[in-house]
Amino acid sequence: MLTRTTTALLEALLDPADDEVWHDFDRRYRPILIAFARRLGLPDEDAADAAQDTLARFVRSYRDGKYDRDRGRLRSWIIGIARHCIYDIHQRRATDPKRGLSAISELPDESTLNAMWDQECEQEILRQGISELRQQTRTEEGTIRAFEMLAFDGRKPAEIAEALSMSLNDVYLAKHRCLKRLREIISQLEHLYEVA
Amino acid sequence: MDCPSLSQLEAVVEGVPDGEVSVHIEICPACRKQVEQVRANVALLSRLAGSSGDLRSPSRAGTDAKLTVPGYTILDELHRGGQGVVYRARQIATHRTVALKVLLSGTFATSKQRRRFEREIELVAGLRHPNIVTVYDSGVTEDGRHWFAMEYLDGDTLDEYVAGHPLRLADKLRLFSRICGAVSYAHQHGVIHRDLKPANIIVGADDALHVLDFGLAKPVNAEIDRDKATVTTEGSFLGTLAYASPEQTTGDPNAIDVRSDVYALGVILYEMLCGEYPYPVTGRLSDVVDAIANTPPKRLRSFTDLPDRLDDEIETIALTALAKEPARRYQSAEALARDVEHYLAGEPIDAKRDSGWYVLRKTLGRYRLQAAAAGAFVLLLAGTSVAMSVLYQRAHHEAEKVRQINLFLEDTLGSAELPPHGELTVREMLDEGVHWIALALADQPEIEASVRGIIGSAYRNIGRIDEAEAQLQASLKIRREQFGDRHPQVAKGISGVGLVRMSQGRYLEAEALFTEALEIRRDAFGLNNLQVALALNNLANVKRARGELDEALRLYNDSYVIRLDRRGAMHGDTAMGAFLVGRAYAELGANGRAMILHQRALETRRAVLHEEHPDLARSRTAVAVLHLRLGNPDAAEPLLLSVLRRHEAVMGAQHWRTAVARRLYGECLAAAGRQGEADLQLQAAFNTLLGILGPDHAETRAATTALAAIKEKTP
Repeated sequence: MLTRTTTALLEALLDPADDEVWHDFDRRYRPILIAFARRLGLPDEDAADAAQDTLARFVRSYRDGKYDRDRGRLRSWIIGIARHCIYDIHQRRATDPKRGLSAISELPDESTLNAMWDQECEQEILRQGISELRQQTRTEEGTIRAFEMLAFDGRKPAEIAEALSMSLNDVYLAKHRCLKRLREIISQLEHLYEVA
Repeated sequence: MDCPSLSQLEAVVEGVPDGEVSVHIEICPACRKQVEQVRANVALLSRLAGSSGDLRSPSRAGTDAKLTVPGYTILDELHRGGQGVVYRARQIATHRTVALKVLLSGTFATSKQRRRFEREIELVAGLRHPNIVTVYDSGVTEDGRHWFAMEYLDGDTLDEYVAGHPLRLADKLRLFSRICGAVSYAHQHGVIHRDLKPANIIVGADDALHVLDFGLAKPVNAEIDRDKATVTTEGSFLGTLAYASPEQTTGDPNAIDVRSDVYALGVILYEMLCGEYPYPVTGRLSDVVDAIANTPPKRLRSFTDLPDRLDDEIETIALTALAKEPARRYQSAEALARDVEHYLAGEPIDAKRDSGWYVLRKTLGRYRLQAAAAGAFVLLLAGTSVAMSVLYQRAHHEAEKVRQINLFLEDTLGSAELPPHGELTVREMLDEGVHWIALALADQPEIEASVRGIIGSAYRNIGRIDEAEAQLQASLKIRREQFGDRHPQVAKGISGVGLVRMSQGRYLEAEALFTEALEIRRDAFGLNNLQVALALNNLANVKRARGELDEALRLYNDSYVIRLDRRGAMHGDTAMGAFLVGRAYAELGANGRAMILHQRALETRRAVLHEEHPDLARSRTAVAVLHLRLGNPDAAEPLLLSVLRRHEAVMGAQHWRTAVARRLYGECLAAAGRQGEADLQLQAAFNTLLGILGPDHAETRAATTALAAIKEKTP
């Protein structure tokens, strides 16, 4: 699980010897960047490249002191870099202009990009939250199964009770406990990502 | 009662009425607290459900695992593009294979754009033409993405087809004529394609031809404004512009009509005929946009290694479709198709070569910028020009279009370095413009004010100060009548007159005018505004002219800070701001500060301007002069050499500005101890300056002094 806020992370990132922090930053933003690049039309492999380029470029210019927190949010800065990287890859794939993106229109405007980014952040936080929830409830196999069937498979509590040989009340209890814990995890993640 | 179970509480939270439980909750604090929790849980559950990807697999970011389109089985992914993803899918009811295009969520920034799209897709679904891909069905996915199902086609794109088949000219033209026919049919049904290109045209077995993606191009950055459009030069996302018309590059959606498709057809035809684009479409975005707007297509007859000889008539057809100005193109795809058919049948074509344009272009030859400026004026004045058609258009679009023309003219005329022998031509055009205003704009005061303002500025640029004053005063007078005294439009008029006063050396009056303009703009826009930045610069210029250098520096600096904030560092205007501050520092002798700012301006200008842009030369000169002052001629030398080469190429070796650049270069060589080379350059500069400016001009005298200094050192 992540432990540092983005601000703390950015400070630590200035120390080139700190490998751990780079790893932390990577883990935090790479999945978001990949998803973001995919949404802007890159196939999986290229999206992974775009994320890699963005992270590399980010760290380089960050350590060169080009990010000034007072001049704008981290989000805009990363999106800016990501746009360039994604654009470059599109261009590389499209050496023939006919094969390139079609028309001037195809990049969503800034507010749409921001919204996409926020959605992917949300997505990533939920995903990490679920994964963390699993870690924390490893020993309660029935509880997490019941919860996942309910939250993701759309099964009714009664069906779940039968499938897992639990009492109906236990299913409700499992749901309640998991959601409560997940809420705590997510609110902590949101604090660390500094989105809330 | 005992405290209810969790399931009972949940039922109540989800709205299932249970009086007994509700009453209990009211009186039991523990249960009330529990209800809070349940509510939060329910909210989280719906948040989980609203998420589009699969949250259980950690790294499969953003997959479309959940994408389902009712009634279709998705088979595989055909293409993933900036707009969305195209799948091969099976329509369950009919078992037919379809191409299913799912747009990205967030494709539409506003609900207006979305509604427009939805209306358009209805129109497109109504199109039934053998050469237009049929749209069967459309809808919205659960997570709000638009999709549509269309005919699944197998075949080559047009460019692949042309490359892979040795077609004779007549075959190509027949194929092209069918494309025009399809486009024309769509136009008659109210659908504009907006993104015609070979990749959107599929030729299948038995030469079956289909045009794809009608009307589906996203409403082109509908609300984009010009500021944002220039930001794109910084490398924001743009796709192929190869088939875009000049009006599409302005970002004004109102400027796009069926004639934009005619233009794209023109590019397609041109490319089919000779295998190349009419002008270069790779490289920096600003260059591409500039080429689309200004570069005439390369002559088709210059392609000599083609299997078929391309004659004047076919060239005329292509060039007519490719006219920069919509009004000079074929007015419909049908008209274009008709001329192609005429040509195939050996009958005379309707299009006539526009000789005036060519003559003008030849006359102005290598003065590219000037030709564009002059060309804009010819267009403005011509009966078929945008300006004239604007006058007869509905009132709503009028102001916007005129604004576009104005911006264009201001950009071109305002920055033109006019060649000495080109002046007459431009002046004649301006005189004619004045005449034209009187005839055409008598009952359009706002447009009249605008056009008089532009013509006035253009007169000022070519040094016809009296004519400039007449126009600018007239423009100001109309503005005051139309808008009252404290309107930004009036501030603009006042600034125009102020600039004339500057040119006349009437600084006190200029200062009063600029101060007034600044105040109006500050009141209207607040402090942090680009118009205010412009007004600050005007005022700074007059302070500088009056020798109040400290005050000028302060004003330049205020203006620069605004531009830095509003435009960002990588913008031409910001670079101009840095340049002016740098110049002010240099004049105050603060060479170190000056160097920082001039280098900043140079760096930006290098990135955003055309290599031959005069401002880039100015920045290079400024940095070089500072290097010389700081005793570093080696750093100055390459900069001055590149300025000299630029001036030679653009203005010719005998222009006085070229001579001044040569003199500076000579001085630099002298400072570097290269006396022999310096002597040659300085002598040449002196001869030119003497011939053009006479012996008493400051520039000539500076050359004399530099020469004398060398003679002293060389025995």
